[in-house]
Amino acid sequence: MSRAWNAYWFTPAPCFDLAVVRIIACFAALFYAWHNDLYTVIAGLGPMPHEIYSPFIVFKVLNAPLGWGAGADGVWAARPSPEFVSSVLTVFVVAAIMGMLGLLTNVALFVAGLAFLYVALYKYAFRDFHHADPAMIIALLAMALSPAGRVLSLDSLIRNRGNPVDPLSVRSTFAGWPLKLVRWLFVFFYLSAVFSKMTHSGLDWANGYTLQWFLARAGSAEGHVLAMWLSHYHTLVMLGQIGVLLFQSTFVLCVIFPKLRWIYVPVGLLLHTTIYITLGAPFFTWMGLYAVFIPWSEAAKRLGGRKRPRPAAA
Amino acid sequence: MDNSTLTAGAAATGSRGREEAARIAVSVLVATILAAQVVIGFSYRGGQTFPVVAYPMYKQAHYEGERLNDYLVYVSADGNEGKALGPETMEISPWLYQRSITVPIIKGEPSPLAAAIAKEACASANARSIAISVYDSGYTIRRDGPVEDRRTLMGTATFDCNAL
Repeated sequence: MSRAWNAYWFTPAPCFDLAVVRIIACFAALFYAWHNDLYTVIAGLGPMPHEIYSPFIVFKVLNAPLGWGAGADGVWAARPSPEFVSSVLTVFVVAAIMGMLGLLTNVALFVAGLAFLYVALYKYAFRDFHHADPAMIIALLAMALSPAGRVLSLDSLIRNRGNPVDPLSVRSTFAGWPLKLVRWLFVFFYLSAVFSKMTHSGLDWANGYTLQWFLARAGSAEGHVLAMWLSHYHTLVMLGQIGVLLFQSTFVLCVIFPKLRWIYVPVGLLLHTTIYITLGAPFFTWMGLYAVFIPWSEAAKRLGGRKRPRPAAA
Repeated sequence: MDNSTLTAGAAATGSRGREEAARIAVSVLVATILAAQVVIGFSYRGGQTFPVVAYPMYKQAHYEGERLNDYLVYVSADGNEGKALGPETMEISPWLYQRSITVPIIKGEPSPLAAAIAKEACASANARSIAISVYDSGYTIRRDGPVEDRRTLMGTATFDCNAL
């Protein structure tokens, strides 16, 4: 059991794959912050009545050094000023850029993950809850504990000054686990989504009207023209719903049988792009983190016309 | 064996020990995160365990004949005609708008955000009372798509400006 566990999580893996995911993840997190206009959102939450301020436990703990005060639930909870939260967002932006460039990589990723968590929790304290953030927060914090800056980073340039190292040849026992962790998280996220639909609504969920309703609401309330147009096609929408259930419930197959990623990854990207265009749900963080499924080093070697290296000893 | 061989051997043993400790620490972390995600993802719907949460997005089934629930607020001073006040005008997210204003008014529950809107309306209109009414979108879902009808009044909250 222990041997199988170690073989799965700690087989030496290319640091190149991890580094590419680090760069894409940081970029996706920054893009998400820009797209969602987080500075404006934070400023807008500042004047909200204190009665609707209801922070989660983690946010209360993070704010403990700021002092004490009563939240809407009557339990102690200091409320940070929007200026303070904006400065935390700035820290996130700087740290994510450093993480992307690979400067003080591990520290930068840890700070970026923590700051992203803080900003997300501030929004959620005002009941503005979304599901796009957790995957990125966990991924950034996991990569902070890995050799994510071993290659393709300013750190590696500084470390190997005058003695350049081929980034494709560097492997580490700890380069694979963050990517595998995120892959399994995706499996459980999708299974959780299917489970919620089935336990709450049963197979009725895929009746076509469900998604027509959500599409029409997005069209009517938020002006998504494509959503309103699509909501007129019952059969097409119903087939789409069945496809969503199949995709989410069988996503685990692409982790168990990696060749299937060439089907699941494009379908998943198409699904999240369609959800964004029609329903306006910005899952850019998930789309960025789909990079964990791509064997970047193999792709780079093929593009470079190299021979495959012999697998390194564990 | 000379000293340098002994030192190298000790260093290698130390490095292996550190790597083994790191493996154990990472294993505990990975197992904890995955176990938490499985347990919470299939049981708990709240957000207290953030960033480990369930994913119940769009879980509610809908049926033919249902009306859409994107509600819109109308603010009326002293019984005059109401003015629509959407989330864009207020510069807040649609989710916050629906959860903190329209839903409490429909349920007859207090809404601090609605009270804040009323207070501002009292001052700007120099009014004695403010009524905040919530209307639905007027759309009903049919097989061939949404059909638009008259908006339906879902609830009203009235505020006395002197009491605010």
